[in-house]
Amino acid sequence: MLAFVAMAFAGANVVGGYWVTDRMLQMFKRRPAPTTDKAAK
Amino acid sequence: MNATNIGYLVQLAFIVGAALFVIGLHLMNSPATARTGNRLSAAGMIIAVSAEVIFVTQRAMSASATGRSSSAAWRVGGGLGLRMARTVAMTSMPQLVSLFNAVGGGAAALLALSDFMASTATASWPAALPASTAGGRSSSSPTSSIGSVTFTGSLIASAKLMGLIKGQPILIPGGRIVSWFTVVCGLSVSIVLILAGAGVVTYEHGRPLRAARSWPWPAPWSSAC
Repeated sequence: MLAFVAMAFAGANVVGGYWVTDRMLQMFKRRPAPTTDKAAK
Repeated sequence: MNATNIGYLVQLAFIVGAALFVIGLHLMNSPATARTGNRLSAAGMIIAVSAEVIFVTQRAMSASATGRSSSAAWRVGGGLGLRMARTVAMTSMPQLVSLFNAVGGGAAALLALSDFMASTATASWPAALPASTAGGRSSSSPTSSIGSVTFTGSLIASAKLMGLIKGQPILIPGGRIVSWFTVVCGLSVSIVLILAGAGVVTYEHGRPLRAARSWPWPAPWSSAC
């Protein structure tokens, strides 16, 4: 019983943690060449 | 495939998983490769966890409820964590991370507790504890303390971030004394449990602590324990 709760906790932590990290890192994507934009001006 | 071979394969899977963690962490050094690193390390985690679940299921053939319930626990917890991670708004991310930190600490504390209970469940306790008990307890005592502090502390932090409770410090009258009392109690109980696990002392309900045998005690790691 204790182990069941512990493993459910651990599962939530691990899966959620990786997914959240992925979502946050997704925001770090390079914007499509902002330098060329500046150069056009 | 027999149990020994599966044991080897599980060890191999752990090594592969560990290698993927290291490579993944290294890739996290740079923002350009961080996402790849995170995914690589997630793959390592999937390998290690599946290996462990398979191992437990195989080993617990006679009582395969253990295996089934462990994979069920993973599915329940993982599904819940996944749903929370997918649906949470970017702006309320800190609360969620704090909550994940709390359940991580809670998991560690509960595992240590269940480990301890399993080690005392032997019929002839405290006469014949396995020699590994002292080692197990010297790791499970700090794990349970640190885990519970993480669990409760992170829950409070998360509740503060969610605005469920006020941001100013919560002061309990005499809280400092209570904290120190808790620390001293926890430390002394840990020491007694480790010594009892090593067979140095024995304790019985309602009786004072006494030495299990006269000096010299065998080293906890010797098989004579």
